Amino acid sequence: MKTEHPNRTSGPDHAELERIAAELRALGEPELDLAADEFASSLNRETAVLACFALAHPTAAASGAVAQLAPLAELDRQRVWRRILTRRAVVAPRVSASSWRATWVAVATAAGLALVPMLSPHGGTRETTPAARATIEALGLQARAALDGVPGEQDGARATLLAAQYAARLGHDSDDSDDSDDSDDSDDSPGKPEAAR
Amino acid sequence: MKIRGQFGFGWLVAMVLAACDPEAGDADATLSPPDARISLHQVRTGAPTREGLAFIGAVARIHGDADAAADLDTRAAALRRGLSLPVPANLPEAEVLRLELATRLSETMGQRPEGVAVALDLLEPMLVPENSLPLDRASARALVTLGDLAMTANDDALAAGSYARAIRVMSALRKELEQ
Repeated sequence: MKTEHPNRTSGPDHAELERIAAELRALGEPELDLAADEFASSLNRETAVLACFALAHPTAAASGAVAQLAPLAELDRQRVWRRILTRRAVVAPRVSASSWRATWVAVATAAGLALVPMLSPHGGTRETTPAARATIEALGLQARAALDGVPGEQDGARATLLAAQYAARLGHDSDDSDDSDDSDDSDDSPGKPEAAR
Repeated sequence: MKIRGQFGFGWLVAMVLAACDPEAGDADATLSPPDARISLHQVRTGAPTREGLAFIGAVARIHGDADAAADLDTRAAALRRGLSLPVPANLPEAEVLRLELATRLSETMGQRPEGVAVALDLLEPMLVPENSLPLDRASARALVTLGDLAMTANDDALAAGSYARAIRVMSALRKELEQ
């Protein structure tokens, strides 16, 4: 079953494709997708497939098992590429600009919560593994960046704005708050969430 | 809403990952896992009073003093004065103002290695998951600051939980904006 292409970057060998298609039919698997083969032929397939495999199976990659897989048979390469392209076709349409922010929030939350099983005690502190720690740091950077994007004043500016609004409700000027006893609480609400202003 | 569905998916992913991890049950019983619970309430307003206005004005001046401080100690002292101001009755707005004072004081103290533990002691009790937090940017900022301090103190569980809770507060704020 294993064959080698003399030139991996050239177009597909039709005799070879027919042979693979016959093999797939014999196994009861779906027909070959020519687009998948063309896509695969545009790259160094051996390297790319192994890289994808390593990404999908980090444990195997870390143990060196991926290296033992090379070289892949042509049929195996075709199967891997077809699965990759199938997944690309399913996933790609779901990503849109409008849902990107919500997706990020969901992913970041999932990342934060997924850290639960990764944490383990070290020397009486609540430290975790370096990899998990790096993930938490990345989550922190994302949270800080998201916070910077939330509108609203803070600290002195916030207190000054609130004082002015409160004084207006009280019927006072914020610079001359002791001259009147009028009271009016029907004005703009300083208690509204800061980001919603 | 789309966000709600994706949050549900996020929770599902997290639960699946936790369930699939063979070492998840081996953690030391004394280790607290990240606590991402969050309870939020709308910031309320009370009937305005002169005492309330005086308090808010004093907080604004305290922040001004902190801005003008030449060094960290002076700034921290000013912010401590702010936190020690007595809160007048019927001033719900004070909750957010005090949270901002505490956050800024924690940020200030956390700039020195020896101040990190003190800053954590100040901020962590105010933000425990059992307490409801105001639905406000100040809560998200306080949680991010708590996460940063926890990272510095190598309390990764607290850091992860705080960041996750901050993101949930910001998500709730966005939802509020969309409505």
